[in-house]
Amino acid sequence: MTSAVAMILVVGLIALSLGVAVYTRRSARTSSEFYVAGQNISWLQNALALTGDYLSAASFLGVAGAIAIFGIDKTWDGLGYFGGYIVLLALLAVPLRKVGKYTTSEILTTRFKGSKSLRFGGMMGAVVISTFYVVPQIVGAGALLQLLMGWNFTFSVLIIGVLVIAYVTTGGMRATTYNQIIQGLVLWGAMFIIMILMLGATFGFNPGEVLSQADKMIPPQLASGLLANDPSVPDFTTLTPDQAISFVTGKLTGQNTALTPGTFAPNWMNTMALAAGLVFGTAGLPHVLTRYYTVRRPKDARTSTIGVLLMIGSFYIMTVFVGLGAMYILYPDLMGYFLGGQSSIAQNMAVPLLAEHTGGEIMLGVAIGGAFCAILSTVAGLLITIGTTVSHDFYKEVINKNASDRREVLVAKLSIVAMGAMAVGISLGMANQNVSYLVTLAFGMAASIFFPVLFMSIWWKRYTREGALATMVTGLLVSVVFVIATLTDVNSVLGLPVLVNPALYSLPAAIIVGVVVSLLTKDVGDVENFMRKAHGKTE
Amino acid sequence: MLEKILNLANGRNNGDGNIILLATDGSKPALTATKKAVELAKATGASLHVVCIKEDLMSMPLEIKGDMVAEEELMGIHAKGGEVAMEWASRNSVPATLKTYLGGPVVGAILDYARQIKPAFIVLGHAGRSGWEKIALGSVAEGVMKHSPYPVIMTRGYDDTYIADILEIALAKIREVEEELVEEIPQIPLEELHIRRKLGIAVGTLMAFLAPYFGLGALNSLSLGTATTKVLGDANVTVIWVLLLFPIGWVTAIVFHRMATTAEGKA
Repeated sequence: MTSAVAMILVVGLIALSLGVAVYTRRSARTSSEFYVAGQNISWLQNALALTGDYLSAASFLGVAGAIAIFGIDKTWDGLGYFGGYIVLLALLAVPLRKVGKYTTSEILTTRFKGSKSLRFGGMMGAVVISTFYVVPQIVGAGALLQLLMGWNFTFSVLIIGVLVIAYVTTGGMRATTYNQIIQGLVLWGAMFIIMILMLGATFGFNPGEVLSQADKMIPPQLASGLLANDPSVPDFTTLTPDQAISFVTGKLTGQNTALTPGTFAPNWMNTMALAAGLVFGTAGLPHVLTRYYTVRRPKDARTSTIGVLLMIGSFYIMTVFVGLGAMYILYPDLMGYFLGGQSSIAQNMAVPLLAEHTGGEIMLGVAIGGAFCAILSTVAGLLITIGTTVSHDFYKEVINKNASDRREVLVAKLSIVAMGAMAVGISLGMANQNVSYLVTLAFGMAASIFFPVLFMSIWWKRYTREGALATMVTGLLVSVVFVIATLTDVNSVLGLPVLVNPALYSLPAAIIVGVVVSLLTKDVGDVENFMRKAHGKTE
Repeated sequence: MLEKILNLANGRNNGDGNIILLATDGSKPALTATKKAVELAKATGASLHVVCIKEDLMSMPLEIKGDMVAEEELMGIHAKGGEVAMEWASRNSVPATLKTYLGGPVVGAILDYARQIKPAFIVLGHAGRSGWEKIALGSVAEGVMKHSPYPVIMTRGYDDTYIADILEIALAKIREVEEELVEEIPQIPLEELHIRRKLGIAVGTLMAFLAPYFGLGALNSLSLGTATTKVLGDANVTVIWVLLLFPIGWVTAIVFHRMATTAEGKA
C-alpha cells in the first residue's frame, strides 16, 4: 500500500518536526521553559496542541474504523473522549493552572506540604499511566506504518521513537507544543478533506444520504459473523457496494442495521463503566493535565478547553459520517476482510482505504500523513510528561534537592531518552500482540488515581492528607484488581461482575474511602492558602 | 586614562563632581557592567547612581522571547538588577542611589535621568546581540552610545567566573522574589471565595452534559423501541441524540465560561 505521495508527506513531516526542534532549541535551557514552555502558550495554541496531543491514531483511524464495521454503537467512545473535557473544564482546568507549576504532584503538595508519599505517588501514577498509554501507541504505530508504508515493524518503531525523543529533548515543551499544533491541524484537516471528498463523490454532498444508506446496511462485523459458514456467500471483492449490501440484507432479513443502537453494547452496566472510564479518565491523564500548566493566564485554561471541545467535537462528528460512509463504500472490501479472517485490518484500514477510494494515491498519502501526525503528537506529549515528573518530582525532590536548574533540565532530557528507549524496547518485544487493554488500564487508572484526588483536593476543605493518600491507594488497588480480572477472564470479584472498564467501581470506591478517612483524620494541610490560590480572582 | 575621561567629562558638562551612572537590567552582561562601575567608582572616589527600567518583556516577538526569557529568568527579574547593584555598591562601600522607572522607552529613560544628574560617564553592558536579532530588538547599549551627551563605557558580553560573586547576590534576589510571590496571596476569608457556589456551577455544567450522555446509554440499553424511532428522514432518535450531544457540550462549555467569569468577578 505504499504511495509516493505518502512517502513525501511523511518525510516532509519528519523534516518539519525536526526543524521546529532546532528553531526552538534555545528555549530548552531552563526548567520552566523545558517543562511548560515558560507558561507562555496562548489559549488558541494550547487548544490546537491539546487536539494533537489527545487525538491519537486510535482516534484518527480507530473511531471512524470502528463505526465503519460496528455502526452507530461506536460513537459512544468518541462522545466519552469529548465528555472528558467537559469534566476538565468544569472541575479542574482553571484551579490546575492557578496552583500547578509543572506537575500534578505539585497540586497535592501545595496543599499537603512536604508530603513525600503524595509526591511520590503522583510521580509513580504519572509514569505508570503514561507508560501504559505510550506502549500501545508505539506498537500500534509500528503495525500501522508496516501496513501503510511497507516498512518493517522494527524500523517503524525505531523511526517514531528516535524522531520523537530527538525533538522533545532538543526543544522541550515549546517544540512539543509547536509540533502538536501542526500535527493537530494536519490530522483534523486530513479528516475534513476525506469527509468532503467522500460526501461529494458518493453522496451528492448530502450527509442525510449517508444516514439513509446506513439505515439499510447490516454492520460488517455482525453480518460476517452470521454468514461465516454460509456456502452461498459470493466473492465479495467482485461486487459493487449496492450488490454486496443487497445480498447481505436479502440473506439476513430483520437484522439490526448500522443505525440500530445496542447491537454491540452488552448491557447497561458495561456501557456505564466504559462511559465513566472515558469521561473521568480523560480528566486524569497526565499528558493532558500537563498541557494546562503551559498557558499564560488562568482563564486561558478555560478558553483553551472550549477550543479543544470545538476541535475534537467537530472531529468526532466527522468520524460519524466518515465511518458510516466508509461502511457503504467499502462494504465489499470490509466483508472480504472479515470472511478472510483479517478483522483487525478491516477496522484500522477503513480510513486509508476510503481515502484511496475517493481521492486515489494523493488522498491515501493525506490519510497516512494524518495518522503519522496523530501518532507523533501523542507519543511526544507522553514522553515529555514522563521526563518532567521524573526530573522534577523525583530527582529534584528526593535525589538532589540542591540541583541547579541546568542540571534539572539535563536530568529531564536523560529521563526522556531513558524512558523513550525503554518504551521502544517494550514495544519491540510486544510486536503484533494485542496491547489495547493497556489503554483501557491507563484510562481506568487515570480515572481512579488522579481524577478523584485532584477533584477533592481542589474542592473540599475537609479533605485530609491521609484521606488523599487513601484515595490514591484505593483507586490504584481496585482498578488493578478489576483489570487483572478482565485479563484473566474472571467473571466476578466479591460478587461484583467484572466490566469492560474498572472505573465504575474504582472511582466511587476511591471517593468513598477518601471521604471516610478524611472525616476520621484532622490534617487538612495548608487549606486556606491553597483555596485562595485555586479559587481566588482570575486576573 | 580614566582620570582623563573623568576630567574631560566634568569640564564639558559642568557635572557637579564625581558621579557615575550605571544602567542595569539584571542580565549577565549588566552584572558585568555593575561590577565594573563599582570598581571605577571605588577607584575614583565617585558616587554611583543606578538606573533601572521595568521593561515590558511581553512585547517581544515570540521567538526572541523564548530565547531571551530563558536567560532572563536565570538571571532574575529585570527590576531586581537595581537592587543587586545597590547591594554590590554597599559591600564595596561605594555611596549609591537607585532610580527605578516603570516602563517606557529604555534609552530615553536612561538619558533623561542622565541629564538630571550630569554624570561623569555612563556604564552599561552590551548583550552582544547580532544580526537580525539586533534589527528586531534594537540595542539599548547602542541607543545610549548614539544619543548620549556624556561619555559611555560599555562592557561587552560576560565571563561567568568574573561575575560569579555578584551572580550569587542576583540569584538570592530571585529567591526573595519567589518567596514574596508565595506570601502575596491576599488573606481574604475563605467564605468570600464562594467555593460552594463555584462548585454548584461546575456540577451543574457537568450534569448538563453527563445527564444526556448517560441518558443516551440508558435509552439504548433499556428502551430500544424509542431509540430506533425515526424522527428525521432515516435518522432515528439515537443518531440525532449523538449528533446533538456535541453541540450540547459546546453550548454547556460556553455558558459555563460566562457564568464562571461572572462568579469570579464577584469573588
